Amino acid sequence: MSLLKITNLKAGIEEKEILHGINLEINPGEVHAIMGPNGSGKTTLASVLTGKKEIKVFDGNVEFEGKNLLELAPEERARLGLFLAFQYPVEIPGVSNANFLRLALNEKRKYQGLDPIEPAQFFKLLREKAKIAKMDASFLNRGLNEGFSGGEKKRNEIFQMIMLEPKLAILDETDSGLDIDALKIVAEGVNQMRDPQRSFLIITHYQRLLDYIVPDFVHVLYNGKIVMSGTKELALELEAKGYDWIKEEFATN
Amino acid sequence: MKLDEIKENIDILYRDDCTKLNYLSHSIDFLKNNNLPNSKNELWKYTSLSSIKDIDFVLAKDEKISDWSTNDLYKINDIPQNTAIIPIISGKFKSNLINIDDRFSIEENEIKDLNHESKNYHPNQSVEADYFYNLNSALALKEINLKIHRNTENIQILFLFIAQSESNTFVSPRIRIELEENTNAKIAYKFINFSKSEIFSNLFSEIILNQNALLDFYIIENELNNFQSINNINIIQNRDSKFTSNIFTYNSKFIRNFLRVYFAEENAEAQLNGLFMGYNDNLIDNHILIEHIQPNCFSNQLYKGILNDNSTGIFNGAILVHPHAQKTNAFQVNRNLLTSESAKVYTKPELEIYADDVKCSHGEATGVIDEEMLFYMQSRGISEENARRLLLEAFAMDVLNKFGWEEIRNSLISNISKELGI
Repeated sequence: MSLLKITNLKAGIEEKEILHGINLEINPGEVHAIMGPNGSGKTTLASVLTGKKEIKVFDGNVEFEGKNLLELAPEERARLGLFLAFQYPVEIPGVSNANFLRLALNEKRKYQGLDPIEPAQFFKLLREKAKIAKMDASFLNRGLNEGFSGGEKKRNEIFQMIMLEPKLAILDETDSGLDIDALKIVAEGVNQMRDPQRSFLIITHYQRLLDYIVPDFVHVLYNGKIVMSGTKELALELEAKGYDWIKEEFATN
Repeated sequence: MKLDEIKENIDILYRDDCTKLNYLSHSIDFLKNNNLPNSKNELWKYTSLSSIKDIDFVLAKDEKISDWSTNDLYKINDIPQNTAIIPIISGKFKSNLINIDDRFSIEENEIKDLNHESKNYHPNQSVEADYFYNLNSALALKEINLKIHRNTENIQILFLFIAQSESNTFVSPRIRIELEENTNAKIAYKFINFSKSEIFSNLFSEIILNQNALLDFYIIENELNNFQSINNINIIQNRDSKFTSNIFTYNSKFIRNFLRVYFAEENAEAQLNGLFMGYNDNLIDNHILIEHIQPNCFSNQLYKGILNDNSTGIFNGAILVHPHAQKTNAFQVNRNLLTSESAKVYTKPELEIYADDVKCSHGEATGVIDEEMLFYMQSRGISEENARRLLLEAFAMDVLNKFGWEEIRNSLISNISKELGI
């Protein structure tokens, strides 16, 4: 059974349709990349999968391990194993990174029928995983993303992903605005997490990140539709030819 | 007797031997010439007295009060250890229940015997024009005097205002606190209701900080549904003194706290913290007036409100910098969260600055819980309800973390943890 199956998904904001019928199937262990120019609907796709209120679904369906994802609340989707690394993570002053993660982890454990994690065990885990994302331990007691630089926020997203161990992680333009060192840290975090049961959906504008996280499949999203699918070579072709090539090819659609 | 009828009876209380007190004759004249304030008065624009107006009170008389022992007092929830308790039960000062400590003196004096009416006693027109200050002056026949003796430190005193009366009661506590030179004290006013009938407390308090006195002051108003109160508190600060107020108002029907801080000498500092949380039809009114009279003083206000249901919050923070008060630093922040569509907040900064070399700032913001923040937490598996609680907790803790009296802070946190946090 596929992990995620999107069938003819049409969605948008208010009455405006942005996604015009998306079809995509992701199996356990696969890494998919979705590339596309600005305004093609990449972030809308990430938002509809995680259950953002503003996004309206007009048609189609999405199954996650056979369950109808679209009728679940965002927190239920997360507890099932869906994770979104946000393009613009919010700052939440006064809620510490550590408390936030402990609560998130415990809510997931509760859903799985497990007891809350022991505080000592939690902090041990926290410190171990922080090293992988190259997060300084002092970050953990600070307010969630409070005063973090762009790069720190992205690393914190990856850190949360590592802590929460999702089945499917969606990275929404996690590479944008990152310098090469931060990009490598992000990629390392993802690569360490890769296993036959875990899948990734990497949304990006640039091919650069895919040098470090090698995808199994690459899809091109343009004007709310997946217009091409291929392997990692497609990303290289896109990089060489640029998005104008896609725009010309599919302008009439 | 209703609130607006009380002043008609002042002549009965008014005694010739008090006329030598200027303030008392002023107050009696004031009441004769003025009616209860209403929304036409700028300082009462949003503070409706409707929840008090129609109550039929008896003025606190020699009603029998059930017997308390000092031990009973210490058994009341959340009383900090190593703290002297000063009980005022249904308006009556119970001196026999106080543990004597030679670092301070406490006594109750007949108003007519007072001799501390100095020129600084009411240095400001604002309080003299306050109806409830004048009402207190006219009705309070006694004053409680607390004096912290010079060069003493680590004093902890809790004034316990207990409402326990069979009939609807109107009380007028009047308290004067003086910290002598080089003292360091924590003093709290805590209000507790054991009564099923209505009580209205109209308190006036004057707090004097002499040179190099440090006071950490608390007002705790927790679940006072038939204990409505107005607290007019004047703080007079002398050289190098530091005053911190920490006000916690939670689910209480009608509360008005009016703090007036006067920097009478240089190099004094005042930090005013407040957290107010309204529920149901609560009305919580925070009025502040900081008068920078002398140079080189610092004041900072941090007030936060969470207004739920149909409750109303008011924040009115005035900073007045006199021409002589150069090098003044005066700051103010008020933030409010509304969790329902019918909750209201009226917030108003008032800055009047007559000196050139000053730093002043204010910031007011009222909003609802941020949807982006909620979604972010939900996307990590946290339920919407818990996410909301976590955000409210973070908002409230920003103020509570400033409360330096650890036992009080912790008891307040556990108090609200039912609503907030996890």
